[in-house]
Amino acid sequence: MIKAQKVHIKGMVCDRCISTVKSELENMGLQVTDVSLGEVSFSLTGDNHDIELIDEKLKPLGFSVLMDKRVKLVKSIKALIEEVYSGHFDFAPGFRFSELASERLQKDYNSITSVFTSLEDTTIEKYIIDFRIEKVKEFLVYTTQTLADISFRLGFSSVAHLSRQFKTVTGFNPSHFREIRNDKQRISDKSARK
Amino acid sequence: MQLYIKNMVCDRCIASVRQQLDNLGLKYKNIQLGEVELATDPNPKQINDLKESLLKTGFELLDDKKATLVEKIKNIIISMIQGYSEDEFNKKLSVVLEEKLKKDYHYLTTLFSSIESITIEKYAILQRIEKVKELLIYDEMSLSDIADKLGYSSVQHLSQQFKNVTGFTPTQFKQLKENKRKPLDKV
Repeated sequence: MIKAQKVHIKGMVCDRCISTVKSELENMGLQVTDVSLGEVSFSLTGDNHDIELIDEKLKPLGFSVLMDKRVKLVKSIKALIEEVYSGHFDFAPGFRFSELASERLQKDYNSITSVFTSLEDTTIEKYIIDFRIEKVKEFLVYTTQTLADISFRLGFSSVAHLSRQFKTVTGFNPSHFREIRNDKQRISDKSARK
Repeated sequence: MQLYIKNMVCDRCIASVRQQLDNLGLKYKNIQLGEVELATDPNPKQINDLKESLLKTGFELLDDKKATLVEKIKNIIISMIQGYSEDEFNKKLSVVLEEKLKKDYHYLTTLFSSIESITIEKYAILQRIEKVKELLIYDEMSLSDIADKLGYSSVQHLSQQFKNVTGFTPTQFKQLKENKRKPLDKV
């Protein structure tokens, strides 16, 4: 299947830049149909080429792929969520994600949420809940930490809060989840030994 | 031996020139915008080969003293505006040029005007507007940030100058579908 794609590129100023970009993309096996200052069109054959791969190739030459402002914003929100809710964040008393986000991204939280919601079909809050519950599962299965520890590390206000949220999202309560997993692991260990 | 080359505006131009020198087997000590310092004196045939090779990629080897000086002026302006060099916009262009080229500004302007049929000031404005266009298309900075970065005294000043040169206001320009940018060596 042939698809045409257009990418905006930062840092192009002259005809030599155009020929550099063109030859670089052709080296990657892309069929370049049109190059002008700051814009490249190429056709994709077969599997989808990663824009980030192009970005990587062009970086050493002093170019970069221009990403849409909104896409960029969503990316940085997700990165921030991962930073905060991965179990190594030092939660200050009265911590609010909205305050941290608008401080870090230098933007009003309302505009951040509306961009996120329009691109992701889910709200930031919902995304955080899902992300956090996934982390809880991970900790439950792979570590022997107590629920109290886990809830502290992930910034839940209390164990009860964690348990309740866990139950609404997954349908299990946390300790039950851990037991099931342990059972399953025991079974698969046994069958592996046989 | 020092060679002067016309139309170099960015790091890719430097890379391109470097590659051509390598292909021709010419050793160099230093390459900058518009200038190459060769380690050895080339023979006339090598010079000719280089000339042809450069012409194909849109450069030109300069042998005229005056043209060389004009190219130097252009390179200084481009470096300033593109942010390649440290000179910020807190100094007057005339002072910077006098310092760097060790020549009287009056002499420089008359020379530049007579060869380029445009004044240095006007040329600097055009280069600056080209940079504004680039930044506008990236859509990453606000207009006031751009004005600040490029040394305009105010947003109004920038908008007015932009409209004078391009005929569009910055906002109108952003909405244009067609790409209106020019290569820097064609400004």
